[in-house]
Amino acid sequence: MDQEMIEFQKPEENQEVLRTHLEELGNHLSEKIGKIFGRSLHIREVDSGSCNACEWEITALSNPVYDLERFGIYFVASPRHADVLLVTGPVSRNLYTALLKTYEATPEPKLVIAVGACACSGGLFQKGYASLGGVDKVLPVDVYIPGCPPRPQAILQGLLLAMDKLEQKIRKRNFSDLHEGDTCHRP
Amino acid sequence: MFRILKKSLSTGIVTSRYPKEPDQAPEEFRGRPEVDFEKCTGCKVCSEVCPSRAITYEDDLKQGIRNWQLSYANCIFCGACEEQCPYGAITLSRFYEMASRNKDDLLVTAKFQLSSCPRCGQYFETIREIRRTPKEVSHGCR
Amino acid sequence: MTDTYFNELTTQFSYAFLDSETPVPDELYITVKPEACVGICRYLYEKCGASLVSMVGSDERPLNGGFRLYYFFSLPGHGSSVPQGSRSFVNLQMKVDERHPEFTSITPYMPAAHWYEREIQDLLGLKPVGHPDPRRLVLHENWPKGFYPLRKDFDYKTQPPRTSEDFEMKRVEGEGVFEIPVGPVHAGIIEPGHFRFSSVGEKILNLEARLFYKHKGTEKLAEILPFTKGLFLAERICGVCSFSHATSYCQALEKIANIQIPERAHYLRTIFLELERLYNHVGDVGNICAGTGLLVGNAQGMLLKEKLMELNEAITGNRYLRGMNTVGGLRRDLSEEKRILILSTLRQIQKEFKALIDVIMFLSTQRDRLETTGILSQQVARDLGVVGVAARASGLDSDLRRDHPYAAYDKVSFKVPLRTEGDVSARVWIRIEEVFESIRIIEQLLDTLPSGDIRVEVKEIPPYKYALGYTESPRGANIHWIMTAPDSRLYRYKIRSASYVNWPAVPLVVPGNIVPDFPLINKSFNLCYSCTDL
Repeated sequence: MDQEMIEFQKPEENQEVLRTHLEELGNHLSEKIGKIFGRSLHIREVDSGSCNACEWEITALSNPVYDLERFGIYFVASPRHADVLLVTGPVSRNLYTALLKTYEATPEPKLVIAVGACACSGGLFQKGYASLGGVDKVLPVDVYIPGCPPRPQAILQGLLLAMDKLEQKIRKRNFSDLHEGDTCHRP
Repeated sequence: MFRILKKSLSTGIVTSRYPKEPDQAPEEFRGRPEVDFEKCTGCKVCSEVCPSRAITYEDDLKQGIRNWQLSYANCIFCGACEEQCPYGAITLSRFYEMASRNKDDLLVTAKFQLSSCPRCGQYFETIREIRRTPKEVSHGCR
Repeated sequence: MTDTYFNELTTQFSYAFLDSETPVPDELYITVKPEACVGICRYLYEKCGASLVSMVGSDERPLNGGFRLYYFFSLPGHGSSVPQGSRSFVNLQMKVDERHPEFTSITPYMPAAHWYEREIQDLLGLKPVGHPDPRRLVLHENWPKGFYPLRKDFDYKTQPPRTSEDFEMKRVEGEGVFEIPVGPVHAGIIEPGHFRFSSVGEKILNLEARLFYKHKGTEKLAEILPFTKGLFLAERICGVCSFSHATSYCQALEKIANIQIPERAHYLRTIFLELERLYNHVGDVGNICAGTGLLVGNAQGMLLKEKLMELNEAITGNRYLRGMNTVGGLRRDLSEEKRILILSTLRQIQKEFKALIDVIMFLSTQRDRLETTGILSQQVARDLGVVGVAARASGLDSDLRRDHPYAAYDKVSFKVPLRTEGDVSARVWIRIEEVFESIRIIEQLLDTLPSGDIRVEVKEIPPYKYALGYTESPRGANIHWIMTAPDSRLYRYKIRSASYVNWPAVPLVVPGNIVPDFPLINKSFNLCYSCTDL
């Protein structure tokens, strides 16, 4: 490092490592879902003001080419059936309440995944009079999937990553005190 | 009914093997911006053209340091920085698997030493940038 | 071309004319006295056969001490020198005094103006006097009174406190009438909107749609960005019309800066516009099958769409064709290799799409669901100014590509399909025919693609100039109006998308149908929420 440039940092550079990790995840995915959720993972997609491109990419995940259901992952019609919330958009002012209510209706343990630049950080819209500037300003976000929009493969990778995190969350819950902050809606 | 069956059968298997096998994005794809810090001078042109404030900088005028930052979370992959970088230090790669559990893992940061203006004594531009495109005094002193 | 109208109008309304100019060819701007505005609008609409294509309110108090309203009309061409079917734009403008922030509503005569006027009321605080339904539209009840985001003294970053969230919807009352509320978070992966059905049994008596949940302040944001960054915002108005919106934006600014982009750029733009139409239409035809429960058709449609998206990615680097357009031309060229790739992929798509249509469109179960469902009458379509596929399926022969040719559309021959039934089936068939036309257009363009530059450098744009930029997106006409400000910024950016004008038609075609047909009707219009809400 020369004198006029003091230092620089890049995130996980080694793509090989990432790749093997991902392949491993793919192989063990069904197994993992089986262990945690009794063979299925349910996703609820919530649009909080995206431009529609992220929606179409998520829709594309269920087309014959990506066929998400082969992993046991399903998109469900109600947040009450969901384990994961897939949120797109920078959270518009008019959708703030709807997003909060959707989150509250989702049973614990739940994950929130921010899909796309808008959801991750507000993207082009930032903080404005009608945009709150990203999902993490409103809800705790567990996984970020950058992209504008992310490729369907990238969303799939994000879902796999989320699975790992969900496993951790469940393990943590089993040992933690259940009545502390418990908002479980499941009977 | 027969036609539907025929159509389905003739289509065959179309499902991709991802994620068990990698899926290479096409050559033209605009993916994760890669910064070559050998070439980068910290001139901040990229942060000026970035529409989504994914590239930002902050000058620490006391220490004489420019803190430069690129966040993949903010990036909309428009490629404006790639086009406008005077030194070709940023390229948008074909890498797209960027999902992360932590926003900090999506940051690229760098620190550049600033040079002070001989006239007013204020720090104004990185030493690297001045070496590449000589500027004698700060904007205010010109 | 506009002279004929100008002469006619001058003789009729000479007392009300203050000024007129033609800043760019084909766009005539007439400044009129506010009190005569309604009369002139009615004359254009009722006597000249003009249609209202957009209406803009702008806060020009810093410039000339008042608000200004712009009414944009598209007029059929007149006289022998004018090519048949071609049209031109006549735009009225009038000042609204700051001390009396109100204007006379034209909605009672032209229902097409009803949303524009409500939007102006919400965002600029100008009251449309005589509007039959002056409820809030863009800003919901969580927005406090007295804040008007599009006024110049309002900062983009201001976040006023939230107020109560109750809103009023029209109700149908009587024995056995049920209300079914749907949304804003829907069951499928679609965008948010609230629908309230009043039904007896399965039959829908009334539908009220409440939109603008996705309002993010796009137009205001455009005012604080330089024009180079505004382009990326234009690309993100809507996901699936990215390229049309970006082209509209670029064309408006190119007109203002008075630059001619290279011929090759015109051709390439047209090719990408048609590729966008292709993947949308092919996907929509597949999607209709999801509504009728024909899963084979749905899967096959999605598969074909995916192939087109992959083609987009291979030639432009983005599945939604983003990052190609720029003011002054295109950012990336099309290599010979990619030209061949497009041709071979399209040949394959054409074959497979034809085979798919033969399978799905002639099934009696499919036809039973599609035919006579959700009929949009020609009268309603004309009154509301409906555009695009929906208009052409209801017998309104309008297509900007032919009526106001832009890019390279005057270099190719194509047919504009037209049907008169106005039902779901007609809208699907229009799309199917357009798919084949699009492929023909792309093939013609690729065969005659001129060589040369693809871009002219545009460094700055002159201030206080204005122009329209328009494209026929897969959903219909996208009309953008831009007024520039100093420092290469925008003073006002009005985006009128096809979905914006088509949405009000949806609640009108639904009554009389059964509840399970609503998704089908909705899909047949396939409107975007994002480019409506902005």
